[in-house]
Amino acid sequence: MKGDKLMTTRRINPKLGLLGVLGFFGFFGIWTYKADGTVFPFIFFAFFGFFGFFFEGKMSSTLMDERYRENKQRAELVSYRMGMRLAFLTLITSSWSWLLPSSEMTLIFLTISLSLIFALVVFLSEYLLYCYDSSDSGE
Amino acid sequence: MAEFICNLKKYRLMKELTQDQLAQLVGVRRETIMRLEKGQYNPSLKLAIDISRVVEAAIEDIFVFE
Repeated sequence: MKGDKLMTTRRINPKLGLLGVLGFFGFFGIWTYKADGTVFPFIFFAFFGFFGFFFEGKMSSTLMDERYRENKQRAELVSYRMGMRLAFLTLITSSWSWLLPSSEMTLIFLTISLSLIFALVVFLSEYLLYCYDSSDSGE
Repeated sequence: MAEFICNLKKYRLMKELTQDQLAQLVGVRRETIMRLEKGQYNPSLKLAIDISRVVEAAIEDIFVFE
């Protein structure tokens, strides 16, 4: 009890969540694909996950006691589980050749989908942690 | 989560401790003690033991599982 040394969460300004706006750069991929076939900008959709910094910032300098660690594990479990299910659906969908007639369309679909799934997992883990930790109802 | 009745507030007040003071003594946040007292959080065995030692009451008197 007395010897335990608990850490606190890192200090982050909630305004860092505005970096999530970078995710909108992903739409540039529509323009670059039409211009020269480049699909790389679609990866910027992953930056939508940075909106999670807003909720991580609200939890700044929080003592990581056992309840925090339990809530964090629960939030990550829900997020990762949802991400895995969506990734699986993406995999199944991308294999339907009648839906995605060309390899290029499949590549674009996969790039956009996996970027958005990554963003969702990152955002959701922080959002759910905040919800679980600050809710007044029973856990 | 297992349902239980928490008598922590009674024993905490008997020791004239605030939630914050008790939280610091057992190494958790004040919010954790608050939720414990409301029966909204199921403590680990270690935390329950630490609390029982601080308030000098038996665990089964503090946390009553139905």
